[in-house]
Amino acid sequence: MGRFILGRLAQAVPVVFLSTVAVFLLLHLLPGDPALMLAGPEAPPQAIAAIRQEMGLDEPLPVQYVTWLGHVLRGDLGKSAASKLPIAQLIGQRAPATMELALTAELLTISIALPLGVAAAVNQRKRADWGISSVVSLGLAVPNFWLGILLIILFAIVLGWLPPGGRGDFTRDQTTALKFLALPAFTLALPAAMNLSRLTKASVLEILYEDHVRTARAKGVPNDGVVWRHVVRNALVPVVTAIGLEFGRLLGGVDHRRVGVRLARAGNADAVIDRQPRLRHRAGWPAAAGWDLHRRQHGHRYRVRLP
Amino acid sequence: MATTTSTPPATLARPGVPLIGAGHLRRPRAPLTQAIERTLRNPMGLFGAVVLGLLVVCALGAQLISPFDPLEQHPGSELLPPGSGFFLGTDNLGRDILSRIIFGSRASLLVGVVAVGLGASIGIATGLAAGYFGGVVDAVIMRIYDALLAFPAILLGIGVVSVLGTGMLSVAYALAIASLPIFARLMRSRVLSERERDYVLAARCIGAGDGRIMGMHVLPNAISPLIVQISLAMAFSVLAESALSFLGLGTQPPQPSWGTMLNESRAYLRTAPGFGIFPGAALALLLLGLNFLSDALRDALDPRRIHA
Repeated sequence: MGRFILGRLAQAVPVVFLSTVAVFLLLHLLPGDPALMLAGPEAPPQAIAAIRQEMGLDEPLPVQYVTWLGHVLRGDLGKSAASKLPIAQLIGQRAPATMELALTAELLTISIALPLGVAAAVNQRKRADWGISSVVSLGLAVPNFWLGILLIILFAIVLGWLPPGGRGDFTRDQTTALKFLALPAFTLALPAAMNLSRLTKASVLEILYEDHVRTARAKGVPNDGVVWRHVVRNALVPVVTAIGLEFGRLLGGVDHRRVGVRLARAGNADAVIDRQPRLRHRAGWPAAAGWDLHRRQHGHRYRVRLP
Repeated sequence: MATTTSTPPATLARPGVPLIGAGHLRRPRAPLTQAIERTLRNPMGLFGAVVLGLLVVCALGAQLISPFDPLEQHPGSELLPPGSGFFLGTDNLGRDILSRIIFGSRASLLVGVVAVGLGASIGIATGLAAGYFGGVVDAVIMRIYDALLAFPAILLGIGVVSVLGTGMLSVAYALAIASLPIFARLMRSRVLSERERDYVLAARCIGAGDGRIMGMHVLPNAISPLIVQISLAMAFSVLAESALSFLGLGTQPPQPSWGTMLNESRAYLRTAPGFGIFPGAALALLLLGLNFLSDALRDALDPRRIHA
């Protein structure tokens, strides 16, 4: 098993490199001239050309890529063209908040989706299933940026239970920190949980009618035991993959802006939207790496089939 | 001799239609018509169709329906709650929210129709060609679409908007491009299974050319899952248009769009929560209706159903 995991992790390395190439290319295909941004709009063309030469932007693309990759591997992510701060510092400032939010949202997603999906599958065609399906459809139809607004109105303004924005410090006061996280995490978790519950339901339904489940029931195993020990474990295979993919998406932070709740210093998405080209592709790369590693770690579950 | 009475089959026994001797020779309704009937008989499908109809009516008849001009500001009446002359209240510049919601449906409908229309027509045509001809044509088309699929949709949208500039049409083109591979792949897989059928062979035997076979025989038989995909793509386009407008990359102010209204409302949630609630409710209602419609279409077009 250990060798298998190591092998999968090793396979992740070339994929991460390929994604750096993809991010690099995407960046250079988009309009937005870093030399112009650095020099300012009033600068004379000679100044812009000088900056371009200094930054190495007049080199051919493969040379630029190799230079950039060399810097990245040495830990030098360069400076942001807009804010002139080191990018590693900018990412480092945002990373803990992103991690907190992503982890909390992921845990919420799993805890909502799995029970719902299993309950819907086990009670298929009965009232419970119909109720859960309606809730899931509604949850999917509500756009998540509106959901953020609604939750703020309800919990922060009308009820005053939770703060609308900001970030707490986990090392000092866990309860307050959790309160800050609650609204954005739930806004991110809900649509993901709805999708995941549909996947769980479909997966459980497939296993529910298999022979080994029927045998367990025939042997007299109580229904709970059948469902949880025999069905759910096997049904979790595609679900775990989806969870891994979802975590990568959360790390990528693109949705954080759409949540409408501003966590202080959270989300690498600010970089994408604010058009800081260097920061954008620095931020995109760790997300791709995180997603891929996670997916590969969970991919190993495909080999394990419990009786 | 006892006469045996047999009840006529369900499809032919319609109220008001006398079953005379040649009744059994009546042509049954076309499968597509039956599918539409089944969709509308489904309560979810009916709800979805009604919501879609409402969208179209609002968008086309916006001038007639809306009480105020959506761009007209009423100084002194900013951020009013519902009532007092403005049915859903006013926004931060004193513009009537109901009128802006009605006119905002135009953005959603326009983007939805253009994006899905372009994406579906080009995607289906190329998928048909790729599946029918196979070989080099298939390889080239599918590799192009594979490359396109590698880009995440949101990033593609942001990229296209960066090149074409912001605005409704840019969003529509971006969504059309993002949906091309999906339609093409779906069509291609259906065509691959249909082109081996006997009726295609028969058509070829009597001398039908490729174009005729593709358009008259393969396409109508392969189209069913694509109809479901079209309604799903419509729902996705509406959502994406609002999301991009929310981020400031789609419809530009002062043009009304539900996404921009939601974005503007964020600063005034404490004083005028209605500003944030109503456009989102309209959006959620439309999305719910479209999702229900797609589900109902999927059930109605399910090939495993036994056609009566």
